[in-house]
Amino acid sequence: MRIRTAKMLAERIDLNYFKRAPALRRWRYILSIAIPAIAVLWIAGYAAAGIRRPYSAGPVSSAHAFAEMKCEVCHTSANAPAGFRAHVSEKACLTCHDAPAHVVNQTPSPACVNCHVEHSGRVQLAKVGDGLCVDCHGDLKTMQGAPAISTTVGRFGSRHPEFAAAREGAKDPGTIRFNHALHMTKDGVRSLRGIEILQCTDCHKAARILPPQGGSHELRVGLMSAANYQQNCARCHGLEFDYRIEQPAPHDKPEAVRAAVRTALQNYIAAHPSEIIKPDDPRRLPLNFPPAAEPPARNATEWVARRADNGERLLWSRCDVCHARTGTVTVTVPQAQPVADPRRSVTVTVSVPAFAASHIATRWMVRAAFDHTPHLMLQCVDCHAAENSQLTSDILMPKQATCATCHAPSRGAEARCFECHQYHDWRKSHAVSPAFKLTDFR
Amino acid sequence: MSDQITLTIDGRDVTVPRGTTIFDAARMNGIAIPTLCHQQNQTPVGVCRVCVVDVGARVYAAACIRECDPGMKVKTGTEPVVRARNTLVELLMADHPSPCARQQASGDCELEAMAKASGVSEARYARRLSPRGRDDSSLSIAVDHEACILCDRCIRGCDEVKKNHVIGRSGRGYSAHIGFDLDLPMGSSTCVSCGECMVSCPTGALTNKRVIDAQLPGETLDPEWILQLPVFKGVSGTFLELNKSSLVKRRIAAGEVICREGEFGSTAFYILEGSVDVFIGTPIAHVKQEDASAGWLSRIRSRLADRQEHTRTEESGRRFIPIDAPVDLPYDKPLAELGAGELFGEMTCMSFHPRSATVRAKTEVVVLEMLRNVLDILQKNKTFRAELDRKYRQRALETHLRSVPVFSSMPADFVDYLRDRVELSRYSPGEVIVRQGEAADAFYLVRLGFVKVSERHPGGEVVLTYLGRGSYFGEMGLLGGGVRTATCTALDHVDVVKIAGEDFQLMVSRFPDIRAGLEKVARERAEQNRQRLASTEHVPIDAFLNQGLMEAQSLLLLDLEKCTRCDQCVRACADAHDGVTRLVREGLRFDKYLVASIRRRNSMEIIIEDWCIGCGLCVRNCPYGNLNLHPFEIKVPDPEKPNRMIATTRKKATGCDLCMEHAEPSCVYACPHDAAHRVEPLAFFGTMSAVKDGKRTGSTEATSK
Amino acid sequence: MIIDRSHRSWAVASAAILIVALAAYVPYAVGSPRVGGGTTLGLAYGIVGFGFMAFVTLLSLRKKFPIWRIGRTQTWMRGHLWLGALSLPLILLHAGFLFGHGLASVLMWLFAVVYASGICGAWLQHTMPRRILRDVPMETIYEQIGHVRAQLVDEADRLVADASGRLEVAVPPAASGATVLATVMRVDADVTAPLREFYVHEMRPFVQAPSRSHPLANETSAAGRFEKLRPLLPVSLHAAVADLESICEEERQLMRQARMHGVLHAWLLVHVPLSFALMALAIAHIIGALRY
Repeated sequence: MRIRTAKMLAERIDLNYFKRAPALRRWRYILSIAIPAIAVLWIAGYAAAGIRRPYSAGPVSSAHAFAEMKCEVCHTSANAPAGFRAHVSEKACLTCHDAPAHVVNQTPSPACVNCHVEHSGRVQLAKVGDGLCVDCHGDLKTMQGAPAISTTVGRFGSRHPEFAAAREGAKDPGTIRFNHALHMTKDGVRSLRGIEILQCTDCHKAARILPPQGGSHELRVGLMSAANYQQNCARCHGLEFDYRIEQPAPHDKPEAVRAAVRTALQNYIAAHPSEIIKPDDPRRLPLNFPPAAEPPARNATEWVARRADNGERLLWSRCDVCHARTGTVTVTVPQAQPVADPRRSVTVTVSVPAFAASHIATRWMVRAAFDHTPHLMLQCVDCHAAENSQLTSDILMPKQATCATCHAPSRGAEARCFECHQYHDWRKSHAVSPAFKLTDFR
Repeated sequence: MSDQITLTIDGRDVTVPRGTTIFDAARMNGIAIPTLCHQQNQTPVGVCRVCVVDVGARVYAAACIRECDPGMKVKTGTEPVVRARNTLVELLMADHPSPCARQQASGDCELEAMAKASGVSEARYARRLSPRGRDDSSLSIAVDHEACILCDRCIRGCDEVKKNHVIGRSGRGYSAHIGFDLDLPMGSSTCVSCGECMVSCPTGALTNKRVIDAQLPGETLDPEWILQLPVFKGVSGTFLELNKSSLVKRRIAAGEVICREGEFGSTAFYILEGSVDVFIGTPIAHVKQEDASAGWLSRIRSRLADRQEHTRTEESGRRFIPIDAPVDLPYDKPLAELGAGELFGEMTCMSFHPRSATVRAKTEVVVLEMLRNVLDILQKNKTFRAELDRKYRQRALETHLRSVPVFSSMPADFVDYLRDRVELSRYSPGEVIVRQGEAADAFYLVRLGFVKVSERHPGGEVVLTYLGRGSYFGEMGLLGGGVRTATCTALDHVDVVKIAGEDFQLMVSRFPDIRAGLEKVARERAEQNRQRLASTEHVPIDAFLNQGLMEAQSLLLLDLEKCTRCDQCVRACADAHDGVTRLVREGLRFDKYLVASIRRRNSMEIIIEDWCIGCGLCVRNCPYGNLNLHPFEIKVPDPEKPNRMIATTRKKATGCDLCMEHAEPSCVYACPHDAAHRVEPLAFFGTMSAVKDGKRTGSTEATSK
Repeated sequence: MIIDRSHRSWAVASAAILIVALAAYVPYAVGSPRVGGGTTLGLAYGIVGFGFMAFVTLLSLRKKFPIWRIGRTQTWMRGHLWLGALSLPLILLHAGFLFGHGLASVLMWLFAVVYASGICGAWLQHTMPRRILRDVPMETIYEQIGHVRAQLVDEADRLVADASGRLEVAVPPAASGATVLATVMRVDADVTAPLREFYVHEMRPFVQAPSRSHPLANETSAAGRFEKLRPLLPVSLHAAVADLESICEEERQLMRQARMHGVLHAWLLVHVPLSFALMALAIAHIIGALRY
């Protein structure tokens, strides 16, 4: 029987055993020194070779990819406040880029890198996240005064306010009477050329508008131009005023129309003096148009005056179809009498009708950019409810919800702020002078 | 039948008690019969046969074991007897390397002395061919099997005198030799280096390693002169003659160091004239003192480790350091004086402990320096004993009494009264001093050694406490019902001061404050015992007793289900204790726990004091293997150049000290896995057994299958 | 360290930190244009995460100075487990659940490996000690297995020598200066020959240098081997055989202990060095982040 008492067990042990490390512990020591040493050597090796790739936080944006391995292009110590630090400062960006300030009243003005975060892969830096905008616009403060715009703007589709144009109660400021429904009836409209079925694009064309203050950036593209009388209306709504004269009156101010009518009649009678005494052919007068009074004109002037009065009356009624007459206005016009002595100028005061300005809006979303081009696959009426619009004051702009059908994070179409809004105020842009040579990047 | 018998030895009629051996009978009548294997204090075995005498029978008898018969005619010196004896000596000498280590060192190899006396210069017999070998593994004792004559004196010394039972015989015939334990190298055996075998050995087989290269310097004395000294009255002249070189007189100039603390030695000193200073100079502090080169770094380290000298608040009552002399040293100023007629170095000489203090001559001093054999004789000498006791009563009793806090207020006249009335008793290891249930008749003050106090219960013996020097016992019986409430047993050589019952009663009636103090202590002890036993009742007592966990006050348990064996505790222990661990992750197991260290506190503490002399006795005797001996580097004054310090190694016993300077032991503090716990065994096992609800919680690994 | 009820407060605190971190992350991830280390919150996650990692790494330093009174090691260990567990979500939040590029991705991979090894280690620490306790009742101190083994050989030598007389193997001195006194009387050589034969040629090599392919390394085959040996020997030697069997059992247990100890501690070979490497590179990462 083997006896194993506690004392015997304890006495088997060499009391100094713990001073020597067994293989397991020794390896732990060795590895604990070796592996960190390898790691440090690895990183130090890169440092010694001047390669800073390990420190790279990731690939830079596509636009900056040319300088990916040239950290110092952006990370220049010169730009940083302290020697060791090589953070990217405004100056580094502004060397190449122009970045006009957002709004003067803005508080505070963020640094470039706050929004344009580099090293996030081959992305477009301009596409910044909504959070950056919402940071301020979610609870908007201004340096002075109250903000002119909504102070609680959130992401599109959630806390974004309804478009100003499409809000409840908004009215089209235009004064041209136009009934979309009438023109867009499926049965077509009657014209001189027969029944025509009108398409939206028959009247609405895309236009390119440059910023009014000049500059090279296109402020907004792909907006529709305003409907134009000459191109869109004249075909049906002609301005003929006398069957003898083919040329219609110009679509112009009433006094210009008056002058044009008289000039045209004077020219006609001068060319056909025999017709002074010839009465009007009643068949060729417009319906319900009273024939000229008897007896026939004694001379050309009288003939012109009579015919002009008729023509003007006819035209003014034509204007009223679309334009809103506001009364009459007195204008001074030159005497239409042929004068032997051209040096003698005689003016007369006449009264013509006055019409309200048309106020056709060409840009509804004043703070946002919209381009029809990418939306060409859609029917116009998908967004613009024109088919049933009978009133001029109807606003046919889509509501936010209509856009959000596609422009929502869940639907794939871009829904971030930059899609419609610009941060930098490009109207204030200025030219950038070259700072690098091509050889810098070889 | 008469108890006295008469016989003739060498023609002289002698009358001795029945049962006396021829050897004793001859010796009592001044006839010296030479012997090797026999010593007075040991049971005779008659193995060397050198003591052969002619008793008129067909063969000669060994005088040491042959009892006297009435009318026996013994011849001790006839020519055939001498011839037989010489042949025996010659045979022994054939196997004995001459001169042996003892002969070389001190010239007192008994065999060689005898051979010389009998004119055996060269043995005619062939030497053995196979070498028997040496064993140098023990630190203190050199074993030379070549010189061993198999006299068995060491075996009897070890078994009978010291009761260590380490040495035995191994092998048979030509292969016979002495062996330690199961024939282990001596250094690996359970030998406690008490030295008994060494002083018992008549030859150079077992020698004090120091003795081998150091000749006792001094003036060898004439036995006649020695015998005139009062303390040597009654000592056998023959013995002194044989051990002439073991006793020398030295004259030491004032200021000279007689023995130095920490040194090993083998002699005791008896002061004949003059006085000496006794002091301890280099205690190994509880916490290692800061390095001299300590910079700010190590200061921070030390601060972080939060090390402080332990103040030992719970031992504030203790004011004396016991040393190897009849006086104690005051704790705060460890210095004392010894005068003529006093003995010091007793423990070093008897038990081969290192010196516990430095002794320096104050005036010119004349001392007797003696080896163990002489001291042994002296100790057995009643005259000497009485003289020592007288000295003790005169000088030390008062200090001793006063060192006990309860008695510190005792007036001098009562001490005088007690001085001659107290009894000084000595008990051997294992001897019962008082027994539970007996009538209480005396009060005891422990003077030397350790006493175990235990109660007997149906489940076994429950140890209540251990008492050391300066403690007392027996008051509970005297103050209470007059019946002993517990059994007190001597653990080692115990000296007690016994105050008789009536003196004790007189004392407590005369000094109410002493009574009050004693009663307070008695109440505390009773309460402690009651608590211990109360909590014991809920715990299966045999489970503790199996492993002895009951006796511990605090256990370090390692929860083996949590322990990842990462050894942090061991390293923490080593860090906390000068680079040596006091914790060994091996030992007792109890359920899922490994008991890594055991600690007693308060009444049951094992505290290894700073003045530990590294004797190793505790280490040998610890049943759990929780005490260990470690070498420490210390600085001591260079003996050659008094003002310089030199580094030396000193051994010190170490045991768990619960990291007393901290709130929590370092091992527990350092365990990352919540596996190490310090627990109070009773409370802990109490809840454990309650949880286990009758499941066996006994030992799982006390013995292997 | 076993995660038990006493970890409740740590678990609650960790869960709270995690919830706070995640709660802060959701609006951040949704509302912020970008996530990652460069943003304020991302940086905060990074700082806290690195703080946790640094604390967690400091455990090994703390273990180097076991007696420093700077908090119980156990508390550090709890912190190690829980804060370490928290560091992964925090670092993922810091990185915006991306592995990044260059150094950052190396860091993330290293971290992943360290974390995985840590989880594995925690699992091992939950299971292995129990298994060791169950399977290795004669367990000793791992570092001392060699030492104990030598003593087993010694014990077995002595056993066989006592039973059968002088052993015919070269016995090196067991302790310094001691000469082995294997001078035992010869018993009848023929009777004990099988025992000696078995011991010298089979068991002793096994106990001295155990290999798993040895027949005695298997409990069943060892039992069979001893069963075969017994009938060859007189009954008086059966006690010795039983002792030898017990020594073999102890030897097997020591083998098992060594193996299990290896399993219990091998993961540290991955965990510790890599965590140091991780810290070194994390510091490089921080320097890089400070610079660029």
